[in-house]
This record gives sequence, structure tokens and C-alpha cells, in this order.
Amino acid sequence: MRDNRRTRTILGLLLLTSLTLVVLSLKGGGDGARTEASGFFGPVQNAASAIVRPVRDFLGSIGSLGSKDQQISDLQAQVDSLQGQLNTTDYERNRAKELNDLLRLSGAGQYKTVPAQVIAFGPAQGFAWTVTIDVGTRDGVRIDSNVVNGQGLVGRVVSVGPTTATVALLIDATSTVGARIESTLQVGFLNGTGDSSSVDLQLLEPFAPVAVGDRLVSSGVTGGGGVYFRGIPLGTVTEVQGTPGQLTRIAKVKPFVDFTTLDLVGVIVEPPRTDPVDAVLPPKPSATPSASRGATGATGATGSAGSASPKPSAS
Amino acid sequence: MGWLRAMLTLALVVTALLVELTAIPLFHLPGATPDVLVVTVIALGFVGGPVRGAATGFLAGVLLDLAPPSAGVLGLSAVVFVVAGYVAGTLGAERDRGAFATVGITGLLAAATTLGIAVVGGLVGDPRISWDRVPGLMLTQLAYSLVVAAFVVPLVTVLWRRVDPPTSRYELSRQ
Repeated sequence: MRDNRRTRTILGLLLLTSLTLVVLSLKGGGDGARTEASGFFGPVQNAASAIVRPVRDFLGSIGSLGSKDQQISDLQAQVDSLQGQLNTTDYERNRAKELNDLLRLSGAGQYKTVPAQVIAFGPAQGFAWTVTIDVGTRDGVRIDSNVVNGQGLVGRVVSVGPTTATVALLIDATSTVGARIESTLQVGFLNGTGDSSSVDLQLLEPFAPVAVGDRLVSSGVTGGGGVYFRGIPLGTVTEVQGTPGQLTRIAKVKPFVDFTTLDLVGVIVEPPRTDPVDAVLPPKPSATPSASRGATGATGATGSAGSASPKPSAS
Repeated sequence: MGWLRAMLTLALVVTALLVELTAIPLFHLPGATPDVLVVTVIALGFVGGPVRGAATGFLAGVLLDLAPPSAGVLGLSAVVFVVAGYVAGTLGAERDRGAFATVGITGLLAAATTLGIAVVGGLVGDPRISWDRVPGLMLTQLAYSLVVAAFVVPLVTVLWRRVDPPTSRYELSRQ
């Protein structure tokens, strides 16, 4: 080849530049560049997702064309019966309004979440389990914001742009979540393995009882892999490895969330205004009649708060 | 006509990147994600030669490492894609081989990049690399890439020729 030397020089230079990037990234750089890039790629991915989604839905609906006639007649029957109910709706509407207000009130102590759509998935051959969602700093999303869906914990935000955010999923190999067994309150850490349907539970107490079928919620304990609120459902124990007393006792856990078909999620942008654990306790007695009795009551309340079973409070 | 080729390369790489990250995952395929991006890099390497192939690989790798939802080590894909583009470039354009060989080579190269990511990632200590998943990912990537290559390689070749028609000896001698 004519410019063999030139070709090799250019190849060498490109490889050297790439390796420099790798080294810089390992030393902790590159986050700024990713945020910059998400400013550009975010809107583009949003647009691409908006174009692709209807096409996918259309392709999916072709398969069910044969059953459409039956469906139409079923719907017609439903419309007729609903038409009959329409005259009695005023009473129902008032009742619904009351229920709605009640719901909003009870929701005041809950987490505030922003709904989001998953618009891009990291390629499986990149080994990282990450997705892009269509909300960003403008919607109040921050780094470390917890991401949930109807089933349980999805993951946490690891980088955020103006209109998009990148979420590291619970199953990513770098993910660590403080976990608690719902029934026995034993604590441990849930580590991602890179496998999409299984994560590892490591219990802190070697003799802790753990059985297949035990359900796990987040404990709120920080385990070096980010901060998670307490009480978010995580998964079910499917297999226990090792015997009680063994130092590295690990249980396999199947997450509640199906990560391969992730679509709509919620980002927790605001923790509860009042601690959900304390909120269910009776109010502190006033200290006027007897100071000592008031103090005892307060201690009791704190004690029961510490041992209370964490409730899944993410809506 | 250098800038036209550069524009085409940029457009193809960005399109492939978007398709791979946004469109393909919606179909929830098992195993690896069909690597449209690396197949495009290889196809551009075939028609562009080793220098352009390596440069295209660098561009594609850096964009993949930067675009959301990227995480982990920056530049990892760039290292592997530079080599993939370079190798495709040294193998030369399709007319020297025939379509089946070209598609086969593209599939093998794409599967090799999956191995490459695992090897380089393992060497620099990326905690996400899990070797249990590598054989499955390589096999599915090979299968998917053969299908993708059957469409992408001819398309890229046609576009490349259209943007910059090759000046044949015949045309030169007529001038």
C-alpha cells in the first residue's frame, strides 16, 4: 500500500486518543462531557422516540387484526350499557370528587414523583444496564434521584441533562441498594450482577433467617452506591446459597420490576414532607401536666418508630 | 468532495446511533442489542479504506460513549471501534469479494467487537464486565449483525458511490 506509514500513524494516533479518554475517565473525568452531550442528544432522542413508538404500536396491532370485529361488537355493547348509566352520573361524580380530595390529602405525606418515559436503552453488549428518560433538571430531577414504577425500585439517576436523565438500573453491576427483609426486618445489601432477572442479597448478619419467598424493601441505609429512600419494594428471594453462619451468605433475588420491558417510570423529586414512619404514630403529648410522663411518651414513640415495619410508600 | 463524504459519514453514524439506542430496544430482543452502529462503521470502512475506517470508528465510539444513556468508562467503545473500522478498511470494498462473504465478514467483525469491549474493559478494570454473558452476547450479536449487514452494507455502499462517484480509468482516459 502506498501510504502504509501514514495509515499506521493515524491508526496509532486514534488509538492513543481513545486510550487517553479511557485513562481520563478512569481518573473520574468525563461527567461534564456527558452532561454536555445529553444537552444535544436528549432532544434528538426524544424526537426519535416519538417517531418510532407509533410505528412499533402499529406493527404490534397488525398481529391482532383478526380479532378486531369481535372487539368492535363487544365495545358497542359496552357503549350501550354505559349510555344507560349516564343519567345517574351526578351522584357518582360528587362521590368521585370526595374520594379524589381524600386521596389528595392522604397523598400529602407521600413522595412527590414526576412521571417519565424511557426513551433509550444502553446496548446490552456495553455491559452497563442504563436507560435514558425524558425528564431532566427542568423537571426537578437531580443526580441520585430514585426512580420507581408500579412494581418497585427501578434505579437511580447517575447523570442528568436539561431535558433527559440517565438511570442506572437496579440490575447494573455497579448498583448497591440497602435492603431489608419485610417479615424479619433483617438488613443487607442488594448488589446488581449484570443479569437482568436476578440480583444478589448479602445479609449483614451471618445467622439471619432468610427463606425463599421473602420479600425485600429498601432500608434507606447508604451503601456506597447512592442514596435510596426507605420502603421501596425491591424483589423476592428465589434461592438461598450457603449455610447459616457462613460469612459470604448470598441469596438470589428476583426484582419486582421487569427491566427488559421498562416503559413508564416515576422519578422521586421530593421526599415526603413529614417522615412517613412518624406520621402514623399518635402526636406527642404536651409537656404541661407532667414533664416526666411526656418524656416517656416521646421515647416510646421513637422506639416504635425505629422498629416499625417499613411500608412501601412510593406511589 | 472530501467534505461531502465527511457529512455522509457523520449523518450515517448519528442515524445508526439513534436507531440502536432508541428504536431497536423497543422490540425487546433477547441477548445482545443488534449493533447497527458498528455495522455502519464496518460498511464505511469497506468503502472508505483503513484511514477513514479508523476515523469513523473513533467518531462512532466517542459518540456512543458520550450519548445518553452511556455510563462507565469513556473511550472504551472508541478503542474497539477504531480497530474494527481499520480492519474493515484493510479488507477493502465489496466488489473484490461478493455479497455473501461481505455480510459474513461484517457479522464476524461485529461479534468480535463485543469480545473486544469485554477484553479492553477487563484490562482497564471496568467492574461491569461479566464474562458469563460474553458467549451469549457474541452469538446473538453474530446472528443479528448478519441480518443488519445484509441491509446496511449495500445501502452505505450505494450512498457512498452516489455522493462521490468513483473516477474509473475509462473516464480518466477519455478526458
